[in-house]
Amino acid sequence: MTDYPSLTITALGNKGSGKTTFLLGMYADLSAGRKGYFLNATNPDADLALASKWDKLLDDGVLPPPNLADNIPYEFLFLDGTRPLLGVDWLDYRGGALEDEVGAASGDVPELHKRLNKSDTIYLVVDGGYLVRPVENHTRAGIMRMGGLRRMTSLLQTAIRAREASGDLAPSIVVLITKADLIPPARRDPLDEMVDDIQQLLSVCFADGLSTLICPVMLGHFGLNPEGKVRTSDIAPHDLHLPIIFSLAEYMHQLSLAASSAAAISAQRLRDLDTHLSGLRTGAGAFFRRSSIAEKSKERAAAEEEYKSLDVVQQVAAKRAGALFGELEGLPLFRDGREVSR
Amino acid sequence: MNGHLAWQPVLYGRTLRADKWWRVLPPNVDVRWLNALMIAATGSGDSLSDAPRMLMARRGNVVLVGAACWAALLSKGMNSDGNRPFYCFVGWLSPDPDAVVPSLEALQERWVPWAREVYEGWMRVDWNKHPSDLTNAHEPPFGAAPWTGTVAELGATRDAIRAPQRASIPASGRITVVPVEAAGGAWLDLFESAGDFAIAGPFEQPVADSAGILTHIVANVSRADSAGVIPARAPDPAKMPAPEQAGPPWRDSADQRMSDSQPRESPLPPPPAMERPPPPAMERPTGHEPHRRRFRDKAGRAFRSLTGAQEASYEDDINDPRTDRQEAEDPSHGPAKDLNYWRRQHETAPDSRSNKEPPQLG
Repeated sequence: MTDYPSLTITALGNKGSGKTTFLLGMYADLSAGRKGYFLNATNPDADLALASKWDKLLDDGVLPPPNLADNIPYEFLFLDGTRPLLGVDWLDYRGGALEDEVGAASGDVPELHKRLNKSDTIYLVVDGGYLVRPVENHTRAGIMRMGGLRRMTSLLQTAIRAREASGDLAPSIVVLITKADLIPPARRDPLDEMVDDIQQLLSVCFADGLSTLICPVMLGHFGLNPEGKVRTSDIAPHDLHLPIIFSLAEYMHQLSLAASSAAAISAQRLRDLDTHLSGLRTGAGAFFRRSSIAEKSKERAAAEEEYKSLDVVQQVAAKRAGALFGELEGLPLFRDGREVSR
Repeated sequence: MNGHLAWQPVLYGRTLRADKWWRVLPPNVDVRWLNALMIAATGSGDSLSDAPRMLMARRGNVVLVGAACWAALLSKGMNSDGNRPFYCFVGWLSPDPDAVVPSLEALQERWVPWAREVYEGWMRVDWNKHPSDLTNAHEPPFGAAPWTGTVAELGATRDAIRAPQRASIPASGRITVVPVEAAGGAWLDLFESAGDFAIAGPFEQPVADSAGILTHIVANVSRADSAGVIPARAPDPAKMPAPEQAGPPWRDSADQRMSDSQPRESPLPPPPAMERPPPPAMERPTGHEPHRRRFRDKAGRAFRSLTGAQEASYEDDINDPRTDRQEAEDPSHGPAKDLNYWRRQHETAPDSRSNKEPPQLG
């Protein structure tokens, strides 16, 4: 993992919101490949464990049991074909840890809080069962409490403050609506009504400085409160790969901005060096400044090389970001609270 | 020694309303050691079969013996949240160096009724409680073990079933795989050994110990297949005792004690009424700094800091470019810190080089 730049992704969700099931479905989908992009667990045993749990669901309809107080870390590689692009650092944990105190005997809470502060992307997992009907004034507080949304808001704000304090960018955010099969089709397409609901429930995601995608996903048509087993014929995964596509698109987008900014600085340095060189070469005594001129010329060549390479990085990253954002067409995407969806 | 009040029950299992797992936890025990054992024994539930998975572990003088299973095996009513089945661990823990464990065969035969009594008795106290009322586990009283027996009787059992090769504690970081048919002998050999150990099973197949705590795994393998040992997963430092806490997990420090001293049948507090205040009007952000510019500013600072070393090489001369630059800052995180990586990537891919000309002087 140290060989590649890495994205830390944390899914915040209440118990039973579908974090583990989403992970299984997302991995099954992307490990098989999507348009030449792949997600691959760096540990072959982890790959097998994830695949076998997914197979158990497909073959026997067995949903994953609740996690116990064991944070399970996963390291993935996001590949373009066979070429590694980015490492992805993922943690699966019990949803109850969100509501536990840091000093709880379970021992798994401090790691989760520490990890949140270094997460490049945070998924706020909202159980679609809470969005079956439009959110109203008298239901809002109850949904926020039962869905753990108040706690998520608080933890997200803490993480953003911690990142700002250490000079990090704010994390990109995905409002991941699981069990979207529970939501009536009329509310799913178009998503306008549901977007309004999410803006009421998770208004922090639409604050200045944040990029937020709203992404409903589903594993199948299981209805409300399925038992530990579901009918395998009801399994129909939908859009499980899109949240991580967004995370990568945001990374590439920000990389292109960073490269563009760095290239601008590099260009300015190039201009300054040219001015400097021009001064050294003009006027009397230029002959005696040959060594300075040679040194500056060398610096100029290095600066030119730097500028060119940064320009390439900017172009390639922008192109990748464009392609990845293209996959998210039709999903509500907000920057600074303003919708910028394609 | 089991007639003495040497044992305390241990119950690890979640309740109907709260994703919190410690129900009954003896005080003054290193909870990280116990957490690692619980994780190893339950295997997060997905590898549990219909039969309980037995566990015995010792650190210093402290011995834990019990089993993990699906909660439905122990209770008809307290075994799921309505959607997903629960699993749990029920056992007994003793800090008494003279305490005697049951043989594996006796534990397998009698554990369910013994554990059912513990589970039904203690879980009922918490089962319907509001999550906010479950901040601490219950402190169990000392009592007699549900099994009987002495060291001599245990030794006789061992002599009757002794395997040709005695089980021993493997080197640190390794796990010995024990075939199911040899598990009873290994169980007793380990109890009689001097060192610390943790044995659990049966597992369907040898598994990597996710908690990094087991020394022995009982698995459905033949004796021939179990000749070797497998490396254990490195223990997660966050779950293991800190160096200064190494040694017996039984500690006397008062700060380790749980505040719930005894189980209590306190009535449930009425659940808080759902608050229904009118939501604040949704205010859409207006008039803010453009997103791109803000990102660029940060990215620029990060890059300047990355190139700080180069900047320092400029000579102090007329029109020196250094005079215009900001002071170097600590490297930032995110994509800006990865720029050099991506530059190197593209340098090694000549086809991707840009044909764009560098800026010219105006």
